[in-house]
Amino acid sequence: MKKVFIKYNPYELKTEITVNGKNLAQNSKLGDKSADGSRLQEWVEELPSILVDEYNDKDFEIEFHGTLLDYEDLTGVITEAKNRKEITAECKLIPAKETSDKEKSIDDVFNEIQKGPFDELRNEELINAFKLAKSDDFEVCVVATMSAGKSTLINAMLGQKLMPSKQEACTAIITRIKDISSNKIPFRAEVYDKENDLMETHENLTLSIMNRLNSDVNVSEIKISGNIPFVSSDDVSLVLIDTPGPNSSRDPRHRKVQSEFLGKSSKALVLYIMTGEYATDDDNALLKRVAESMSVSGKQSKDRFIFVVNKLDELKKEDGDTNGFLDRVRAYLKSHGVNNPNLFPAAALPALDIRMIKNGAVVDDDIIDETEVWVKKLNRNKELHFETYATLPASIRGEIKGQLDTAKSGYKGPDNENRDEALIHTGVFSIEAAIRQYVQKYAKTAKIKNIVDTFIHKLDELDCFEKTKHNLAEHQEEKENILKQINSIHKKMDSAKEAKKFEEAVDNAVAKINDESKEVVEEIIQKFQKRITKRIDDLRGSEIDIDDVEYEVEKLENYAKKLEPDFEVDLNDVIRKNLVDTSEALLKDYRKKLASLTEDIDDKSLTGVEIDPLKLMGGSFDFNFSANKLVKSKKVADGQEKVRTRGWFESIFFWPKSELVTKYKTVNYVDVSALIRDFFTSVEKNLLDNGEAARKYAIKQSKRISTDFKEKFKQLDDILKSKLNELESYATDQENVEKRIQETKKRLEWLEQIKAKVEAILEI
Amino acid sequence: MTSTSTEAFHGISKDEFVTSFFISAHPLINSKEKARLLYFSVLEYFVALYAKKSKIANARLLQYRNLLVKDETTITLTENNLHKTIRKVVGDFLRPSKRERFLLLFCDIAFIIAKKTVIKNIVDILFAHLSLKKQKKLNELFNLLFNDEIIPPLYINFNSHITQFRSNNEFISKKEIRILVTATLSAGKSTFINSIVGKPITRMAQEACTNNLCFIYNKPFEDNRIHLLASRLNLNATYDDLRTAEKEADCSIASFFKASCRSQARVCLIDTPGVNFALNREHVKLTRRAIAEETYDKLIYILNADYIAKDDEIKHLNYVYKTVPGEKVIFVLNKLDHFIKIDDSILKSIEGVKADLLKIGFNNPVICPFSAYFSLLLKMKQTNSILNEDELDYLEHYVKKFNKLEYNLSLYYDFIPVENSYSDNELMEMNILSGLYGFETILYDEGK
Repeated sequence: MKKVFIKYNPYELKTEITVNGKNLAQNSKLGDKSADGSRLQEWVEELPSILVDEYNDKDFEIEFHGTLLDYEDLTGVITEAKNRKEITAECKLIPAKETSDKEKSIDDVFNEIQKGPFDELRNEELINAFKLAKSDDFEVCVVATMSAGKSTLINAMLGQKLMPSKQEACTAIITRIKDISSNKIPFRAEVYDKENDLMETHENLTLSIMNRLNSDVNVSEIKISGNIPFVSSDDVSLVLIDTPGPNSSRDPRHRKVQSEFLGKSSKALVLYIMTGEYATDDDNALLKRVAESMSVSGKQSKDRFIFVVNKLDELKKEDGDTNGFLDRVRAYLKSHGVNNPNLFPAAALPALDIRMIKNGAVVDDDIIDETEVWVKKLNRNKELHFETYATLPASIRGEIKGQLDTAKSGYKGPDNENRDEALIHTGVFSIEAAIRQYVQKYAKTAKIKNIVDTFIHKLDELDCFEKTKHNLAEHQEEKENILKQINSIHKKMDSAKEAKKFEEAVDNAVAKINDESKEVVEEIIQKFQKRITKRIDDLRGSEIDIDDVEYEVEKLENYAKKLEPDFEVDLNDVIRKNLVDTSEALLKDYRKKLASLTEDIDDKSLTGVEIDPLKLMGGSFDFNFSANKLVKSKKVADGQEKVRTRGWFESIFFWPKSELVTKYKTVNYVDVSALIRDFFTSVEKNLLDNGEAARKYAIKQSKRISTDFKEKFKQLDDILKSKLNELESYATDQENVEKRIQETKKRLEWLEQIKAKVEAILEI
Repeated sequence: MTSTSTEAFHGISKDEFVTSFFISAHPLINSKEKARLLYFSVLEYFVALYAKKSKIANARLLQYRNLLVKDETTITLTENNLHKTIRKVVGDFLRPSKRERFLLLFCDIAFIIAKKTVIKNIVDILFAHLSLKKQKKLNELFNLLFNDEIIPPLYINFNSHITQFRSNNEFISKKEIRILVTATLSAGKSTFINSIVGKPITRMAQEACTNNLCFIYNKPFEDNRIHLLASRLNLNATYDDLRTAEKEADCSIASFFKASCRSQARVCLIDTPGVNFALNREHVKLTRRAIAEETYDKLIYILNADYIAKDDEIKHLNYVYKTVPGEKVIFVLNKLDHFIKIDDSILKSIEGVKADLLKIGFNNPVICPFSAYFSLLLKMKQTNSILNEDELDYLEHYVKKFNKLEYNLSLYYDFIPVENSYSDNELMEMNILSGLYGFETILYDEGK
């Protein structure tokens, strides 16, 4: 038996693993997988097999130091491996501080920083960045197959009727509902048209206004804010995004929005709402996208999708039991490549009505009657206790069980008529818990790290500068040496030769990235070509009736149309990645340049005082240039994500249908392959053209970025120079030495204790 | 036989398939085992003699076997024991309970074999074992089966047999009304069919998996039997049997339809797969082929009132418009039980659908507002089917709901007078309010 100890910090994404008290071997696959920066959920599923491989043992005792949610992911994996008889293992949790109390300590530290002695920490840019990181939205995209009850589920979660639920198939606008408060307040809305201009605002949004907006063809997007009851707004600002179905969208951009949320690079949670009635053609395309995203390895990409099987309250006795039904849904999803989905059976409409009645909303008599029928049905049929079928870890199941017990014990009325109990049976509680879980596990940890990052680098930079100043003041005897150092750095910074070297390095890096992008674009084109050839293979050899030609062509058109947004999003991913890679490469080169500034100073090691430009600039630099921030701030600044504009994409061109139909009018039966070949010649050409366009666009973007960056680098150079000048003055000023020593000492002490506090936030 | 090519009838005529026979109240079920065995053996002998190759006769015989002797080994009639055994059944004239057994035997044979010429032969054979007086009586009974004279008191015990036999004959002489049912998925097609039949014979969950046609026939009267013809013939199919069969191949089902109007029509419902099922592109082809090639008098197109048509729906409507003469098409606006008066208006919904249909080209389309689930529950209640607690709750709720003016579906059937005369009969009144009565009247042409 081997003792395994795992310590996992979900904020810093740091993992420590020891086996029998010893660190992992240098070449350990496990060590590789769990290297800094990787999330537990990315490798935990492989843990059992790697342990068995690397330690040639099947018996383990695993001690985990971390949060409960992470621990449950671990135990889930271990239990499965045990069931498969791959290992025998016992797990134990050493509890860590949970995410919930982090938020307050962050605020406390921030306030202290604001009161501290450094003006640099009070500057507006930093405060804004902090606020931005703190208000980081967490997006939940709600996607549904036709008439699956999407609006009803959203309404049920809001506890009121806000989204138009009738004619939901016609929803052609994007609605974003943002949680901004924990108090009961009216929902407010801003309404935008297709040009993204504000059309109207509402202080008290109602269903009837929503109905009107929904049928107004000019409306493209509605931004709603208010209280989403099931999450507390000071955790993370949850944004529920209701996207139109793939076919009913008014605005071609919308299709892309959905496609993007489903895409691999998205981190948003996706609620996929379906009924047990299986899919239509439209849903198929949607599922394909989901399957692709889920196939990205790691538990998180699976956790990201919550499959709600709605309307299960309509199940009749003759439809069989819930487990059988869910098995069929699983088999169906599997046939689309979606493995191990997180299934959540639900009855959204009863949940909505029960909540509305509970909230004291004015409801129709018929709704009250109908709710009564539902409540009884849900309470008396074990098959309809949907909370017991939800895919949730034990701790959350226990929580819900506890809520159920409370609901039952507090109830005194007639049998089976307990609404609170029925509400839990609707399964909506479980869905909400799943969303909260995801937020806790992924969004909140990332957010906390993000906030802390906004000032930790700045603190380091200040610390370095302060220390250097302190040293300079203390070591007056080194004056000559120091001035020499500063001078040498100045000289090197101004050297034209060095500047050219830097320029070349930058250009090379960008060129290399562009070459890589080219390869990726080719891969994408191939992927879509494969999809098309598969479609052709499916039909090859069959002959269709002349009457069906029009129909087939229509289907093909639809098929190709549905590929379009996916294709565009994939290419956009390349462009975005290209952008991020370019900026990272540029930063790396600039870092190198800073590091090289002191290369020529050979005797620096002899002195106690050292000037390190890289450290001196550390904060400004991460602060201004982190690639993520770059993409994000662009988004904020432009509103409409100019970086990812649709500008370069050409819509797929189709052979005119009439022409195709006429072409085959003369024969009775049509060879489908020939038909499809004709049809897809144009589509394929279009794929190639768009791939080329995307690549060109990516190059243009990276050029722009490098110009931008070069500009910024010049500014940074200036900042560095002014810092050096300040240091020079410290070295030469003989008069105020004592005062300065005292002053910097005090400031350093303050910095030390603040840094300790900030670091403590990320401790587990 | 008027069946078209696609209907599967493996050596069984459609007339035979849709014939009812109610035997659960057979006089012998309470007799001693020995008597039942003897009786059944003779029955078996005659069927083997005259209808050995008839699938339907053997299937019916199996029903008698299940009723009377189950798995017991029967007596084999040979030349040696033939006369004696038959006499044992038909010859008893002392005990009143057995005095008429020869007539019972004859009736049962007639039920099983059902062909007039063969039955005549049986009469002749039986003569050999009967006294003159009995021969006369038998002959008279034979005649009663095939004429429509008033049944004399002498045959009071065979009233049910004779009536059943006559109803069957009358029924199969009628022209069949053939009704094709089509819909996109989740319009509630299964519930609709169940509501017309009055029994939950198809289920929602299976809807999308079914890639074949299903022919659902009604029968002359209720005999509590569902006939199923799929890979084999089953005259007493359970709901589970139906479900397994549905998935395999085209199948035929026969069951008595409990109609809310006075219909005695002979009906065949042709159930087609939902047309927008993505996993199987064959579905749409099959349904289209059926719409284009099957013989039918009416096409019922079921629309889901819950949401307005999307591309798939429009596509299918266009196909129907192009392929089927407009006067054959009846639109059913289903799921109106989901409506809530503050959110929806039935009238608006009908008008919306009408506008869509006119746009496609349908001229003056017939649109029937309907609640299939409510109708099914009503019918189940009226046929004394056992409703579970949930169903009872729903029924109660819908009765209350549909009694309100906003949901009164009878208002949209203009041939129904506003003040109906059924206010004393709650169930009938509900049939009217739920749209069931109005719709079935249109369906069975009773309104004309």
